[in-house]
Amino acid sequence: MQNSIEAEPPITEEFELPEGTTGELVMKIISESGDDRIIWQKGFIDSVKQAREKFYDLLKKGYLAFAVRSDGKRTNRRMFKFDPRVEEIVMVPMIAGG
Amino acid sequence: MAIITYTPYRTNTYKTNDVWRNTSTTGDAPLDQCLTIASDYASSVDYTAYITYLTSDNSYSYSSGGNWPSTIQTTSTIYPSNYYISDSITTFNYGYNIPISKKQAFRNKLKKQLRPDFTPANTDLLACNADPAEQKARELLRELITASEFRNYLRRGFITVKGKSGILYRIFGGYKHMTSYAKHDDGKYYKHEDICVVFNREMPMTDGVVMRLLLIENDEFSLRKLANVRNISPITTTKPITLVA
Repeated sequence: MQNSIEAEPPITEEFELPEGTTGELVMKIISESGDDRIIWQKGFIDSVKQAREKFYDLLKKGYLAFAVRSDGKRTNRRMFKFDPRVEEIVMVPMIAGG
Repeated sequence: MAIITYTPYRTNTYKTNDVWRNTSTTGDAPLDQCLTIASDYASSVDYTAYITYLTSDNSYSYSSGGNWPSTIQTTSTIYPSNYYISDSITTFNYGYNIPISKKQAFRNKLKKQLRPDFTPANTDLLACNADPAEQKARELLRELITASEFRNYLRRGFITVKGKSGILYRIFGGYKHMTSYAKHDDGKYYKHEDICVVFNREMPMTDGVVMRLLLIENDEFSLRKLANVRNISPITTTKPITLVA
């Protein structure tokens, strides 16, 4: 896809945070209870690894991943690979034509 | 104004001696008696009387004073002769005016401005106001759209988003289908299709809006590939609409 992330950045090293972020990045998983959140931080490699694991696990289950900016501005990006620098990732469960 | 409301006990054709349920404290009364009282009130300056009834196009209308709708005046126009009441009459109201203070009038004006103007479009949304999962979903939606868009969503029950292709989408929550609008040569948007895409399992209503919003903004092509598209209307435009993934 045109907007997908081409290469997954290594998470064993420090990664550049987007401008304006406070250090916490979040993955919001839409669920029956509203949404569940997984938060990771720069320097906390374990939390990033955990988020990445969850990300691929959900992709396998048919979830769709979208990169979102915390200020609500559009990114126009659907994600196919995990990027720890993305401010917010919204995971949408499997959908079908109604 | 204090209003006394009568509603029918049954929904069939009513007769004059049918007793109508009174929602106030004055007790039930046959409809002809209601009309008698109301007509007396209507002749006075301080009183207002009206009947609420369904019109042929299913919209509500009301008739005030002694000018009752033709459906209840078929046999005679002489008051208080027999009335024929059709089932289009839904409620019957009469009331009396109580003068309100300037302070109260100002309060009422403010209250009217503050309260959102709810329309039937968002009754489904209002029904799940107390659900904590729905509240979380609304928080998520609030982060994705502007404050005014969110206000409009709460008021109307839908949001409008423009895709990269230039097509406008009206997004509802839950299992309701979206409606797309395409721009015609005259510069106006016209209804184009009904698009239906839903979750595979039961989810909070507003999460449906989030899902559709994200798909339209980020991957409109996939949305149209996955969704069921119905009721397609032709587009009369010289510029072709291109879908961008």
